[in-house]
Amino acid sequence: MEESTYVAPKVIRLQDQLVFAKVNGHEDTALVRQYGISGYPTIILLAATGEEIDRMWGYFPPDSFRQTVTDYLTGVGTLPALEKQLAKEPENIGLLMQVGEKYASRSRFEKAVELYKQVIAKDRENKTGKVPEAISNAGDALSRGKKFMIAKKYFQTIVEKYPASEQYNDALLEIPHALVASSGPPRPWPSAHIPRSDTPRNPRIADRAYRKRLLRR
Amino acid sequence: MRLKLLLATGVLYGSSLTFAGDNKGIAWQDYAPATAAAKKANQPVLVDFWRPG
Repeated sequence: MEESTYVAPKVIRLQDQLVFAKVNGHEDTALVRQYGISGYPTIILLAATGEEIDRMWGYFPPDSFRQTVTDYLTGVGTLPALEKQLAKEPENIGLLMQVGEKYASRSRFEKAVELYKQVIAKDRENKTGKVPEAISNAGDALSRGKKFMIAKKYFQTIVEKYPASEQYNDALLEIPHALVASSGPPRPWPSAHIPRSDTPRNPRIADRAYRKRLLRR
Repeated sequence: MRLKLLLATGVLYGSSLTFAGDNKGIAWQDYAPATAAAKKANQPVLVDFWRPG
């Protein structure tokens, strides 16, 4: 973004309509929490009043960046606009997917999964071809919401039912990832737990004995 | 002649510097001043959340 998008004159000219701000996600954790940032880069467009208009996630080339920002500023493609449209067309699978993605980008994972489930339920025979993507997105949202074991089930469904889908390879990788992530952070080697005062004088022998005792627990 | 050449080079160099200065990039601000400025100017704010590395 820094080397291509933000140096493009058509993007720089957006300064006539917008104020640009940068937030280092590592340092300003309060803002990261406030806006539910779960990936980088995330670009949020706020109204002058501070209310969120919409957000973008990931890399955007200059043309697409300018177009998306301009659309959002005119209320096109924003979450409220899409939800309004979805109320009129509740069977529209493409819209359900789009709204699901909007919620996932806001870290509202439960709501996103609810929308992806609607896609799965409305298109049981995968006539639109969107079902594997909906299952994969639901798994991804669950995984990002730290519900790893439920996410694993979604990825397993892709592996079992949709081996020819684009999502198959990613699902294969996500299953072990979900298993590892669900077991929590790796435990330190037992010797790291030896309290100083409890360590006998010969560290090599003691360490081995102590380690054995710890492992027996 | 040498002096003229030197002066001309200086003018050209100076003008190219001026040009580079005119073609400024995005004036990034921190979140708090940006939102305050946006409120004052009644303009939206684009906030880029980034991570080093």
